[in-house]
Amino acid sequence: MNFVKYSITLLLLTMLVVSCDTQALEDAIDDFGIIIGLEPINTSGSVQILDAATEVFVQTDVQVTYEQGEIIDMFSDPVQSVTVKNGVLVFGIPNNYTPTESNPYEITMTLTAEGYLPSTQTVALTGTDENDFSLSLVSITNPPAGVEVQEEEVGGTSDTGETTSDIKVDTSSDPNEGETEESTKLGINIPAGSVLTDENGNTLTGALTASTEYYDSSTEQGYDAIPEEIKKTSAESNEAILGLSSILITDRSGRKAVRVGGGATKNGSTLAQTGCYDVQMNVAADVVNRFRRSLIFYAITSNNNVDFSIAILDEAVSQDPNNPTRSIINVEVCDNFATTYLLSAVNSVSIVGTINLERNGNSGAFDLEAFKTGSSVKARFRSNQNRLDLSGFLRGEYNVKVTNGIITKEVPNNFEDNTSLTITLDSPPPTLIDAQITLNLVCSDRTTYLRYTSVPTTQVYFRKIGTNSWRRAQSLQFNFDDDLGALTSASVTVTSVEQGAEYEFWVVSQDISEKKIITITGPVVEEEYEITDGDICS
Amino acid sequence: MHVRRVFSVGAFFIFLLSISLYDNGLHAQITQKPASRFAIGFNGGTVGAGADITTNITKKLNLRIGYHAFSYSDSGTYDDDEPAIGYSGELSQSNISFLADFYPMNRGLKFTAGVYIQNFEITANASPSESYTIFEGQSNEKEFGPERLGTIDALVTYPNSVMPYFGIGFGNPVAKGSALKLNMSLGLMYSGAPELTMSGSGLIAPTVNQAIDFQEGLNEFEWFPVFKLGLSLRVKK
Repeated sequence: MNFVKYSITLLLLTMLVVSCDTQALEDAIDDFGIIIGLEPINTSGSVQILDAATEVFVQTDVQVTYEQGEIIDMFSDPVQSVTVKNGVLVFGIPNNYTPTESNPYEITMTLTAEGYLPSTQTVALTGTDENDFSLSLVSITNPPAGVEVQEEEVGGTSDTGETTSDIKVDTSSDPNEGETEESTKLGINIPAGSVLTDENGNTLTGALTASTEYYDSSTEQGYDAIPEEIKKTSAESNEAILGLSSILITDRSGRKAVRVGGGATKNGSTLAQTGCYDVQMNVAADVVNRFRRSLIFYAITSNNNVDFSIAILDEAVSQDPNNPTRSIINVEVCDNFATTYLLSAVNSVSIVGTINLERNGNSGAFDLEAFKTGSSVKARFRSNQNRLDLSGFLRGEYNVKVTNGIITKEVPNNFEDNTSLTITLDSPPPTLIDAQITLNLVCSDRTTYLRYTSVPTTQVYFRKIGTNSWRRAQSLQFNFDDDLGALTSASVTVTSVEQGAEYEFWVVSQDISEKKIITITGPVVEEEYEITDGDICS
Repeated sequence: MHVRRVFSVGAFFIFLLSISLYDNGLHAQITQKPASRFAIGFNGGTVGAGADITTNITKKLNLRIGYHAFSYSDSGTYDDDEPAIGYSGELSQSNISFLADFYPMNRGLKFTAGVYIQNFEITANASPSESYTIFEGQSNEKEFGPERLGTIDALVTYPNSVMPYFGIGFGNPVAKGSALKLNMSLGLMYSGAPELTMSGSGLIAPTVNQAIDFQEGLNEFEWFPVFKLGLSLRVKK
């Protein structure tokens, strides 16, 4: 009897246990995963770092150091510097800043890369979205048109440091690729017997090398490559940059010349305590005549002090004996050896111009650049914006260009005569459409997922197969599946794309770089996007 | 088990108890005085370990009051993956029971109905016990300390502490014969589905959003199984 009792008990106990449906609980346990919640970043941006000559992404690592502005990464942590490996810099700013057109947020950064001239540039965020920029770096071996980078031996000194012959340095070759009628060339002549010393008073001896940079500000590429600090200072002073060169003289020990001392040949048998050298500029005669009484020459030393500035008087100007369309300007610089030489034309006024955009069916953001010799004004028409009021225009005719990389319109305009300009875009070809692209995000290991609530600062770029220029997609939205606990898709809007054509899409974040080719089949496209970086899948 | 079926079974027990009370009411004066016998039982099972005091009402009906409790804690480190996760958990359970046992054959098999007043709680905590580095060895390497990674806490409780019970069993502690008896009970408490609450901090805080999935699974467990086995000693004849 006891055996029966206990058998019944065991049977009933077993029935109790197995009658419970544990499937839902088992599924919850199987699907459980750690989800990373990143704080949303309201304002983000991206910078394409391009080779100034080829206009493709710089292939080497670019070290970016932020000089001004608070920058945060996708984890909302402050960032002082980053290494950009794929040519695209992405960043965010703290949510307590909300940039607007009237209150932009400026970020200044220094970019250095092997084989390129270092560059300090500033971008201004004027909204929480559509903050994508292009910055160019000048290759030392392949500079863009309008820029020359040279290094050559230019002479030597005696054992006591006096130059044994005149040191002549021309910063631009002749003929100069991309040269225009308004190009300004520059050269210096340090007389024989001069003594060059470095910042510690040490004399440069032996063979001397000159490293030069020349910027033709009459070309857009040459002007864009000019160091930003000089452009900014000139713009604030209403000055047009007519010519810019830099010269660095070093000896084999690496000493850099910062002072010029006089030698016996300058002052007879007496070794003078100070020395002078000549600077010669070859300028278009038309430019000289146009800015006759407003030309200023600056000699800037290595610590960026404007050591010497002089208004160019008529006495300093003569006609080029070899070319009647050119004029020669001679200036003598003494004591300090300048490393940067700048010829500017002062404008008495800074003009505010209004540019109205007639889109004529075109959507999305359009970039504006107004350029004339020595002056450039850049801005952006956001997707919902058709008017810009811009300051900084100088006297003279600008070439005003509006483009989104596909549709381009250029018109000339003198803002002194016509302060309000309307630009009407050509209607887009019927083959171009706007499309919403949805990328269903999957990890290579299909048992893992992108367990983030979002991926702040992510940008999506796209380009048509066979073209070089990347454009940034708009309105990026991440979709988080609460049931799965993972990001399952991202959607973007692309404008002016060709239906039926193949486009390469590139998802770029601080730690993500994934590309995929998608065919634009219509206004709505959905594709699977496989993430191969296993570190971000779990 | 379907709710309708449950209440049908419960009604059957109440019917049996009613019959027993009526039947024994006719014989009470002849055969047994109520509360004339007592027994103390020590037992353990799914409601914890504790004691019962049983007294007779009629020859077929006993009343039983009991108290049981149980607690368990565990902690450790799960280091099969990175970062290692430190965890701890504690289960605490205590209950008072008020039960009526009906013996259709005077001894042996019994049908039980009554109520438990139970406090049941499971608390758990998990948090990384070490830093976690992503993109190790690369220029964008980043390390997150345990505080930044965060912590997850979980709490499981029952919404109602009063839980009706019914079950079957064997053993009549106050019956004639040996004072020392073996007793067994098997049944179900209607507890309602346990409620899970999760909270989190740090980067992993959104992990607690999965609590809804666990809750869906826990919703299946509306009944608390009761199994008790122990010995009783009759203390008054």
